[in-house]
Amino acid sequence: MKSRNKLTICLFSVFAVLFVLTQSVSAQTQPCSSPFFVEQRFPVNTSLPEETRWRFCFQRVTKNGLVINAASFRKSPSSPWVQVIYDARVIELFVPYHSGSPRFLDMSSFNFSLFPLSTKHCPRANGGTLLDNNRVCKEVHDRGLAWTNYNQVRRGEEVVLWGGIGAGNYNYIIEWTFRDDGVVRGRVGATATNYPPQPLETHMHGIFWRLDIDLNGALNDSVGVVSHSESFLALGPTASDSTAMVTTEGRRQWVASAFTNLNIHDAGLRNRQNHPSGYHLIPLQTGTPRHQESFTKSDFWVTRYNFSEMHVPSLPTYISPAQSVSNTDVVVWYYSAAHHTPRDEDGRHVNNQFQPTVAQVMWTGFMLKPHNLFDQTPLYP
Amino acid sequence: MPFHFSARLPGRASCTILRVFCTLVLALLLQSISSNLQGGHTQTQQRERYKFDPLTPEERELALRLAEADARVTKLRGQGRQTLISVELASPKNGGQNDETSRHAEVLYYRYEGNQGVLVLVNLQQRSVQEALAINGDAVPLVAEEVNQAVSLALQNRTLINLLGPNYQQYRVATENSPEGEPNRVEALRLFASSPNDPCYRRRCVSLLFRQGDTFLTGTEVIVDLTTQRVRVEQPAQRRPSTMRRRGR
Repeated sequence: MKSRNKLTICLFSVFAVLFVLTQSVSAQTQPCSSPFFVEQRFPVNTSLPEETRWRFCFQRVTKNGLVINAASFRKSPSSPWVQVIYDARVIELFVPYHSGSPRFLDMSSFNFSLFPLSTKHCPRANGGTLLDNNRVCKEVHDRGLAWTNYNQVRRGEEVVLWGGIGAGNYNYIIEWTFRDDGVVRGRVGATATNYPPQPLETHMHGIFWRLDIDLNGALNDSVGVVSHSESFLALGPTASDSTAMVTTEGRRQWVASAFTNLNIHDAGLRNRQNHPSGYHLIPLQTGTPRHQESFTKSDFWVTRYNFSEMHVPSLPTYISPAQSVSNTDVVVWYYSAAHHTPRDEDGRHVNNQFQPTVAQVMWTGFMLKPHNLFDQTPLYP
Repeated sequence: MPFHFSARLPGRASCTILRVFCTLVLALLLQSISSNLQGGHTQTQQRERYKFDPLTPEERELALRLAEADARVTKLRGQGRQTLISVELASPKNGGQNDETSRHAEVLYYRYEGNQGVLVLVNLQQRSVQEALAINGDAVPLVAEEVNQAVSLALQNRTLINLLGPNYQQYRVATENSPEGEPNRVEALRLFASSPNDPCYRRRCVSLLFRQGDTFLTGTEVIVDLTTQRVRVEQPAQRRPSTMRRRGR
């Protein structure tokens, strides 16, 4: 009788293992193939135990340049993958000049594409690898100090993908960074040469990102606006933070003194402390770009996912009539700019004439920072 | 080992257990083979393309063929002049189980009449047009062919020819592949008009910049209306107060 029980247990264990194996293989559908699939473990040094891991796809899209798809993060080798991004792209480059003209809409007006890069752009010594017919550079490297506490220290690492759009006299560097601590950073850098007909005219490089963040899957996502406020009364607490939920499609402002950021979270995603997990969209900007155009009057827009909504000047029409964006598939739009005041350093003076030749890279962007995604600190010395 | 193990069991009992086990394993194998066959069939059709892989030339051709054969698309495109703008990979979310493996393409046309774009979403696996939408024509980018057409129209204008001089036919559209230091280049700016009184209102207009070396043709604005195929060469004195905004390059 004992032997029969043993046999039963043994055979059913074999069956269970087989079942789990076949099911997990079918559940891990790969979203793209090489070289468009990037998987990076951290630390990069494989002789050290693995801590975290990113995997994502990139695609080269005419008009939008370098687009990130299906980005997932694993906070430890034993943790499940958590989807973070479904589709993240720069959706518009709006460049208005001070005199009122020109006012370039570089992405919706033209089919600009990524220009070829060389090993000078993407040196191997800096962890660089050229991908996709040399249109994309992948860099894996140290990101500097992540943490220190007197004699204890931890440096961080990251994988960076970037490519450059050739937009006439300007090049726009589209950069996506995925860090070992779960942070994603998106930046755009404007470079090349000032606009030749008006090389000394100040202008703004306004960048719009469309971030389809599908935290833990497409559904059940919500967005809260996190704000800090100071009280100047003599008594009571001197400051407080609050979160106002975005319940219907709409636009929101970034307030420097409020450290405004968006908390994108999923109703079903919690860490082991049972705290709701989310990602905070934190602007990395030096000012607030505002112009005559209605679509420039806000820094954040929250819309319900619609595949055909891809045109920034139409944003005001996308939020009217406003649909619910609670516990659903949401898309976040973020607008930030670099204010470019021409300077002698932008070119050369030849025969008393200014020739615009070298506009050095001016960056603007944002950070997506995990909030209660990990169960505890992910970084130890 | 299991054989040795089972040999010590009463024959009928071990036989029953083994029979149940074999049935379960067989069912599992059948399920696995069936799903592999389904996947294999799809992959053979798609040449092992995953959801976010770029479109193959065959997929582009298929998307275009399906779009052009669709009655809704034909209606939206109308009878007038149109341009194919792009065929790109699309990755819409339909909320279904097939989302992870689906392959879609987005075909975009520009219809000059009414300044309208036609956006067509093609499901490549089902070989059908999933959606066909009319979109704002301002959201449709200019393509190189249109800029070339604008330049060729402009270079037939007598006033412009006189301004450019005898080498006027040497001007070429500047592209990312233009040779370094090409002497005679043309750059295009997209124009949007905000007033119905403007000739470019709801039309596809470009302003052309003619450059010889580092010097631009100044004091003259060359505007090509691709909708009506008319060229205007305006000197500042002739220019009326403009409601136009230049956008794009």
